[in-house]
Amino acid sequence: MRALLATPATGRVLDVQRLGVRFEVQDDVVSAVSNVSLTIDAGEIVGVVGESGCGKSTLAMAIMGLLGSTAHITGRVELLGRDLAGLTVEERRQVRGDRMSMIFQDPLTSLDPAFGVGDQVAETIRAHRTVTPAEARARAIGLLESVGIPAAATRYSDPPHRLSGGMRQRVVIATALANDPALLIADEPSTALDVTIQAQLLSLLRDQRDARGMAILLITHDLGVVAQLCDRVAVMYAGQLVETATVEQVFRAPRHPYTQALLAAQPSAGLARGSLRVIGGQVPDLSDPPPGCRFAPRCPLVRPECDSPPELLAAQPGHSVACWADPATHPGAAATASSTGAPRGAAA
Amino acid sequence: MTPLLEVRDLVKEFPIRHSLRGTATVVHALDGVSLSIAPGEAVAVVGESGSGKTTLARCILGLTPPTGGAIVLDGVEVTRGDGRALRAFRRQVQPVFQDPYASLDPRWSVARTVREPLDAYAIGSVADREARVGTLLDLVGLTARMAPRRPHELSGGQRQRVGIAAALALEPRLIVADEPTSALDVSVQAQILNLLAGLQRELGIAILLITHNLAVVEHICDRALVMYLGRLVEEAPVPTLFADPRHPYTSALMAAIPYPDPSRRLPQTVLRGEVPSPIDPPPGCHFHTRCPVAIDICAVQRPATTQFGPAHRAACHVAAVAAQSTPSFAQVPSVPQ
Repeated sequence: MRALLATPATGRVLDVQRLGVRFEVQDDVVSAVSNVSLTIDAGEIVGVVGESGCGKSTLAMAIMGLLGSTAHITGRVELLGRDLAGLTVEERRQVRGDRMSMIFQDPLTSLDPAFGVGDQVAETIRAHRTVTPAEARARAIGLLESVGIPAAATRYSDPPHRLSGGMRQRVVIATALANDPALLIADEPSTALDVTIQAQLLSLLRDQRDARGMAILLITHDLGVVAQLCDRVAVMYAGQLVETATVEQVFRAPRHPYTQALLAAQPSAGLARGSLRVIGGQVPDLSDPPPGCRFAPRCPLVRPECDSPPELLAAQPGHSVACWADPATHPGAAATASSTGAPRGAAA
Repeated sequence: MTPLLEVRDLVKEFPIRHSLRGTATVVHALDGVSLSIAPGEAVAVVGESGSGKTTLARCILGLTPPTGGAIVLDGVEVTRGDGRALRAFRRQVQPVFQDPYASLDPRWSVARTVREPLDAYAIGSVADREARVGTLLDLVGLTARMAPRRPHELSGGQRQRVGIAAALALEPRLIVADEPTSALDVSVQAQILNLLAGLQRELGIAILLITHNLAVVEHICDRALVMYLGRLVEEAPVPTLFADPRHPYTSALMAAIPYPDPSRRLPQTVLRGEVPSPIDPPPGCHFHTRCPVAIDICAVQRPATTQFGPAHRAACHVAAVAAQSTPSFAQVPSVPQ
């Protein structure tokens, strides 16, 4: 598939334009992802951060083309300048595992329990390249070594259950990197792991990015992981992007009230006990979302304009926000109320 | 102050039989753990997978009988006691579990789940219990409208509140919460942490929080104990632990926290390797195989516990030597092992 998709001179690897994903569930239509636009350049790590049900995994699956026929996809996903919707099913299959690959949260369920871990890496190579079995094996061993599996040659035939969780995730990463993809999508890659192992995995992903120059789309709920690994961040709420920025911008000066609330809910040093910020209310039902801004029912800065949907607009270079109350993108908005005045403390 | 709960030299071994080879091996889940909790104190037990923290919680809750050692509540040893002692003990010590999706009976209404402990201990009249359910739901921030609902109608945070209400039903003096927020989203986690902090502050309930998340510890606990491979490696008041960790494992664990702050990026190498198997733990200090500062003695001799300050103890040969050369820290021969 190298001939089909070559890295363009611009370095743009992924270009998602107004992507929407709807599921028809009996009589309901659930819009899991609406109007998401996102770009990633070669060598860049972009994090999509949000809570359960915000659509971040659906977004990743839509980009990979892994959603079933129940999903109605609108908008455009371009990988290396090619619109993926224009590819045949067979062409898409060839792109996956080659130009783009994905790692999932639970390394045990992404590996076949009955095969040796090395064989699973080699299989990915042989599915996309014309190589002899010996060459595939040699490359697989090299890959396993490069992701930090000690004695890779002797571990080659070990089934996944002989490996620890951290080692299994390294095997999954080796498989994903087997054909030197331009884009790696990592969906909660370290969530199932202990903190010291998570730290190892995060530095492995960063090293591999530095060595191979691939683009990484990181899906996570963990703002700590975002801060550690990402160059840019997209914050997702109820199927939409509410803020995109560099990692420094989003942590130093978050603009969207949801991003601010999410950061304030994070336990950290120096806070009085029991004073973690709580976001009141519930995530909206995506089969019947609010007509305007989807965060409006829970937002401390809500105003009449919020009944119509806000656009994601640039507030500063590199920093966009979809909020009617943002003074930079909506200069008319009187930004008097501070979001720190939101309800505090537990209901206890 | 007399401790509310004392755990003395607790040992738990799980035998494993290999059916084909006919040999038996043992998982050393807890290897001589001692701790105490004062009334109303919030204590954290921190560790990674395989550290024995959940086994410790289960032993304290009376769900797993320990192989050795003692659990003492108010000066009464419950480990050797009869069924009646255990029943009285359980009334005082109540659990909150990790997964609110698995810990509630899906067929039971919220009211029935919360009332069950009252029924089991036959407390008050039926009308009293009904009224008590309302009070309990209110205490955890749920409305009476929730009472007839079943778990599938509730969000994860609401379910965890139901679990906490049931734990509070018997007015326990200690709540043992095993990873109570790790299945929850961060904004919901904040609600549950605030709730637990409020219960400790306002009702004076002691909390033993089992967690892998040091950021959570920092937020709601007075004191923290760090476990590695079945042993306590360090204990200290939370601010001391964060400011002045003495055990290299504690330092590594803190260095591995991914802070939501891009200017505090993780060091390139936090800790090499992985936790060894508890079936065949390394000799000497269990941590020596991964320790960046290990010396020869670490591979041979189990380190004694050294006192580094008020309520600050760690079991590390290297830290003990370093403290001896620094006169401000007196080495107290306190070895509760």
